[in-house]
Amino acid sequence: MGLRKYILKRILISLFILWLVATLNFIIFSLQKGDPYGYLLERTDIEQKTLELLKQAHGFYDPIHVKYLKYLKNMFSFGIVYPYFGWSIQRKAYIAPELAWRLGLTVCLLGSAMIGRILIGIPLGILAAAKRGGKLDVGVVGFSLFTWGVPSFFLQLLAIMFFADILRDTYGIRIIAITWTSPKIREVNLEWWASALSQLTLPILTLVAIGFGSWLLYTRNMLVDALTSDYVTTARAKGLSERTVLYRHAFKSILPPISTMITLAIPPIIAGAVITEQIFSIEGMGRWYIRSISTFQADYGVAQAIFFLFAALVIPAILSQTYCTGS
Amino acid sequence: MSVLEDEGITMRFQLQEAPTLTVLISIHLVFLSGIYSIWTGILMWQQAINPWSFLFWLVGVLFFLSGYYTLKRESRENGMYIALGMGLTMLLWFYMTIGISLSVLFYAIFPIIGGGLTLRILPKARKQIWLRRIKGFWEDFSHNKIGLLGLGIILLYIAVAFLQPVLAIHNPDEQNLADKYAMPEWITIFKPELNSLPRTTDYNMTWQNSTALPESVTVEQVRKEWIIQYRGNESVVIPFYTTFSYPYSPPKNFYYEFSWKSKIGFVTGRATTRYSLELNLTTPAGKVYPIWDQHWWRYRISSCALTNPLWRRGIDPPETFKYPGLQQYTNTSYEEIKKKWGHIPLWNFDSSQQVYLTNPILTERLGYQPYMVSEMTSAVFASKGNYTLQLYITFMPLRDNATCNITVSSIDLHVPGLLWGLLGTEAYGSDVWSRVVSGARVSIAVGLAAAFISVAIGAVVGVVSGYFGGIVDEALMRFVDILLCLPLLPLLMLFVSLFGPNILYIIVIIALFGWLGLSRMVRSQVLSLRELPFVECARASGASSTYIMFRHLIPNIMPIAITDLILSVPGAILFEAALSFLGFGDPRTPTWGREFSYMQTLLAWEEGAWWWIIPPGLAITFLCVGFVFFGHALDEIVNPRLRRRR
Repeated sequence: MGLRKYILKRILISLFILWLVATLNFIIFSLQKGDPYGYLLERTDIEQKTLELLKQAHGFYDPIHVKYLKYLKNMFSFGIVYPYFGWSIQRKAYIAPELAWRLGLTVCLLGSAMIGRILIGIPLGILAAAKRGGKLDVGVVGFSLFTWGVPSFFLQLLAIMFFADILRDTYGIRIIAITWTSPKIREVNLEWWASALSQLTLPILTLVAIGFGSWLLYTRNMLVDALTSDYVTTARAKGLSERTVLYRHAFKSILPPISTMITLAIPPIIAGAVITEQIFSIEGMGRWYIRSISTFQADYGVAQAIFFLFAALVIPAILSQTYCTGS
Repeated sequence: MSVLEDEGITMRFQLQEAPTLTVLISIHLVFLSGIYSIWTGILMWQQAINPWSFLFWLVGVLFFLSGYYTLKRESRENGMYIALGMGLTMLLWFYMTIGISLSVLFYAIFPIIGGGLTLRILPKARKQIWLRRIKGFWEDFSHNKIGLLGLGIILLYIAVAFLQPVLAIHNPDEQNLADKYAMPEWITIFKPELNSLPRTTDYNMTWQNSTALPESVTVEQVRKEWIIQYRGNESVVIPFYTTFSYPYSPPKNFYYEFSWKSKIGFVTGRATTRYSLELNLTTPAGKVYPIWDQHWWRYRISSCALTNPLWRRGIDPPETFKYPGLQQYTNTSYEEIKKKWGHIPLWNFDSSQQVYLTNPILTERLGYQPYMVSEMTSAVFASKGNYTLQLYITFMPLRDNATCNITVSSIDLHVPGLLWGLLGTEAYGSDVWSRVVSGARVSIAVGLAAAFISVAIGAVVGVVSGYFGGIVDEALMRFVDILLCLPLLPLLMLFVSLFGPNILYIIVIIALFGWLGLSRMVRSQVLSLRELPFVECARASGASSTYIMFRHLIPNIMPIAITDLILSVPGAILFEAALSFLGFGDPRTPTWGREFSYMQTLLAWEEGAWWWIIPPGLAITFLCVGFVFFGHALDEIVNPRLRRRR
């Protein structure tokens, strides 16, 4: 089987898997018990008649297969053309535009956190592997193992307590904005984005502090493996400098798995940092997701869109991983 | 240490023997424990929701299955000790579920007996293999400082979990042990100025009487109660008093509690006397607070006026006397009533009351706005010293030869402390130390149970997919891909909201999505293992695929599986904590995550309650760190890629 045929087969299988995941997604959310219309009736001054009209317009009375086909149409148009991922009952808007700015916020949060993790984790990992067994190695590895065990919400609560209670309230020092203070979602403009980004500093810092350890460990372990293999011994025997051996030979050989790691780290950015967004009350994807699956609001279209986007990003990542490692 | 050297385990074929007594006993035990696991499973499903019971039930069922399998296919001795281990697990299950508060002895004794018996029964060759393995492992492991540290931490936590009945001094769910957000007591070492803060104090005070009593009154003390008998024609006021010394700074709350009952002599349906009770508090500075009289309840809410058969127009305040409103019922209006009607309105019917004076009542009564609790308490308990409580009992006869009996109980004063125990209290006044200690047991059990299930699934899926290859492999691996396409934490939240917040479901759901990485790793290992000579040998001698997988392949991937088991424990613990934190946890189980969910809903950090926030967080952190360190060390020993080449 040629490589082209192999890749084509993989892509077809991937599309099939995407369809399977979408179907699973549909089934999971059909099983949920929430009643969004009951919530509307209770919490807003909507009339019964209007509600009936709404239900008909949303296809509430459709048979299940029609609902499924509509759902597939919503999802596989990727929010770019008309159904725009469907209608959010609680936000009273199409999901895609609402999703867009939240996605932007979440990507700012998690994307920069990921970049920070990589920028700290990989160089430190290389250093640790180069000086294996030394003080730096033991210290850095011990620290990253330690951060593995720290619950993110604990660190974030401590950070809030430190910056808000101790620095700001006791000593009057204001370094970083602590919590979200621009709740007017309707006015999403440049100013809003500026204030939003300034308020993302603390969450990003905590996320980087917790997460760079896994990158460090991964890089270090891969590099240690590479540095003890035979071709590195050969390179050393040729009389190459340790620096050349490390960067030209060993590090180059671990680039494919690291790029796979990076590809696999991208999809979680879409799903949002549920806990971080909840603690710092950032109106990102995770927070919207939590609200949308609560039994009262039951805005399942939103959650379905988030899940589908996640799956649509994971599948290429897996594909590239299969291609890189050949397994 | 190579796993493949131990041919003693992987290559064992034993001759069938005639059934002996041991065999009969072991068959019996296996059968019994099968029934027992079903029964305990049903029981657990119905009521006892306890992660330990779940873990032990799980282990018991696995023991049963392996015991059955071994008895059927293989050596009888092995079947015997598996059955024994299973019986002991069941006993442990029993003690962990039903005898949860039984002494520590039970937790320690069964593993010891079980281990000893198992060692006795083990065949000698097998014992030597195990000893050699453990020795070899320990030689590698004892050089790894991080690993030793991790093992130490885990052992410490397990000791805490076993010693929980001793260490957790209070019931973790018992509330109002002290005031809410009481600080830990040792804070006074660093901040001596806090030493004057109140400790939880209960005063149980019996009334005393010092004045000479008129002839018409006889008093009698029965244990802590006073019985006052009145028989006369004139008005009398009988004072009682009691003193207590209060050595602390003002508390945030205090409560009074006492009870009284009255019995009036009636003549032709008419009461012979009226009476009243009044309670005053005198501070060391000499200020008097009228903290209670029996009218308080009656006139506080105009609608609950009791019908008084002998109400007299113009003498008593009207029954439906409308006070200006609940919140304006202050000292002044009380004084106004007194001024207008000349006397405190009296009662002339039999009554009994349990009086419980709480802060909202006292603020209203003493003329403070309802939200001014702290002002009220700091005014009342402004100074340290001797406080006096006075009880005035007044009789005003309506006709000659009036009789009346009044019984007054002792009075209790409860001051919830602002300094409490090792780690203070949380938002409902529960002991934080006890809560943290109880969390250890649950969190370890949750982590182990979830890791156990997920590793079992992952190992089996990996072995099956690697051994059979082809279409089975393709299907299983694509299934793994599908599960990878779902974001984990959001999905867990969804399932919890679907099935309800039950700790067992949470464990199972965490486990069902935790095996993906392991299955891939095991598969790649098995792909190389299945080409090795000993597998071929077994196949040539007629062993079935199931036999090869379970007797040859699984023992050989065991080191990887155990490492993954250790390394996935912290993940499961953190997931449970995160779920609880987001409000999707089991509210009945004392986990550390539940503490965080309370903290978040009650905004504990705004109260600066670091003694509540930091201990559970550190507890989770160090437990996870222990497992991560231990697992990392195991990984370095077991994983061929990381082993240092010498």
